[in-house]
Amino acid sequence: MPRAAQFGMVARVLVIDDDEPIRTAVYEYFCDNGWLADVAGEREEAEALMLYVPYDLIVTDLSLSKLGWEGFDLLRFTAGLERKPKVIVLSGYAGPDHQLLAQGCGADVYLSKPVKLAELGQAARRLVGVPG
Amino acid sequence: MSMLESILAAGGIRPFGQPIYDISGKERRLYAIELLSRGPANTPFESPAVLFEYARRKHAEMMVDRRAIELGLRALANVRQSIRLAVNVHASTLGRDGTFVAFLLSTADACGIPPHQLTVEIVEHAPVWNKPEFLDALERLRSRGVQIALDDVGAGFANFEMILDAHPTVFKADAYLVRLCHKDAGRLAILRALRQIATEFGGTVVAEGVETTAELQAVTKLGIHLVQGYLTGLPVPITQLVGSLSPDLQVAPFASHVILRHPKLAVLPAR
Repeated sequence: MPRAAQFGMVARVLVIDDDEPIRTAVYEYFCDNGWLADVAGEREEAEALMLYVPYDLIVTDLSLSKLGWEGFDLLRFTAGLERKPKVIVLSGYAGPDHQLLAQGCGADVYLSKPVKLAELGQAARRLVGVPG
Repeated sequence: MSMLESILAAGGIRPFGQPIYDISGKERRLYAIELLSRGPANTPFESPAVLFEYARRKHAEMMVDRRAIELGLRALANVRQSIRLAVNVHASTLGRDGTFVAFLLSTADACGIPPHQLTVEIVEHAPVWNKPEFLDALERLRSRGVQIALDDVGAGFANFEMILDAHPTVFKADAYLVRLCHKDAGRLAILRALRQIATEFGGTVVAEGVETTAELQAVTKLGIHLVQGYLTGLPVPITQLVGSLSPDLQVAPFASHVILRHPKLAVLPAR
């Protein structure tokens, strides 16, 4: 059960994207909607945060080339965490192959870009168990 | 600005300190202050675990170690020489940064802190480092009178190999060994053995992460009298810690013991 739903705590989300404007927009959206949000624009930053901060949710792009990373590797990293957070993938790849592969690597929800922030927020709340 | 740049910028690392107490006598005495670091305020990097994990992943532990030490020692400039100051240094920094020892000693000197007042606490989270350089750096520190401690003994890479290589005089038993040790025969057995090893090395053990009186009593019963943890003192900003020291500290520079404002506290001279 996600930490937020289990303990009645503020839900905590980490936003990872190598596109700075998108990263910031998604981060601001979660902040504005009552989440405890962090943002990572570097691979090492994301890894250090995920290892030590008990996130309920990771929102990530699949294409993270500017971070020197592959989204699938990130998904495998989250799957190996002691307490695996829920993961929403935001991807420009709309094909079923990417979706299946991402879900096989541990993504819980796959949303194809462009996605409305309200739609993302709804998916996030449902996944983590935040009433909304 | 990247997170690393933010960390290395002014205000990026905030020096904290946590007391280590000697409870062997009737009154607990301050044995040392461990310099700790907190990252940029109001970010997850305030947590030292996140801060140093990030630094290691960026292969920037040398830079972050230096910055943390520089800021911490500056904040403690001219603190009475009877207070031992412990600084954390990655083994990889000692192994790879050939000028680190000179940097540490010159920074301390500029702050009015002599080498014999310093303890270097070796921390490590990876097995790869240049062992000959590492051992050479330790020897240079020892030759100048710096005390060597091994941090987090019993966890990660602070293992028997590291003990044999580093030959510390202070063995800091990891909090994992101390947590609920009063209820766990296994933990007690390991702590007892560690105390014996330390004694045979001519050293001593610090119990880290002491949070309850039951844990405190258990480690004391084993003959471990140096303790650190939330029970005896939280990490606080260095300025606050220095501010809590007796005004005598400033006016009696040659006193061998300095009484803290807290009741029943005294300071041990550096050994």
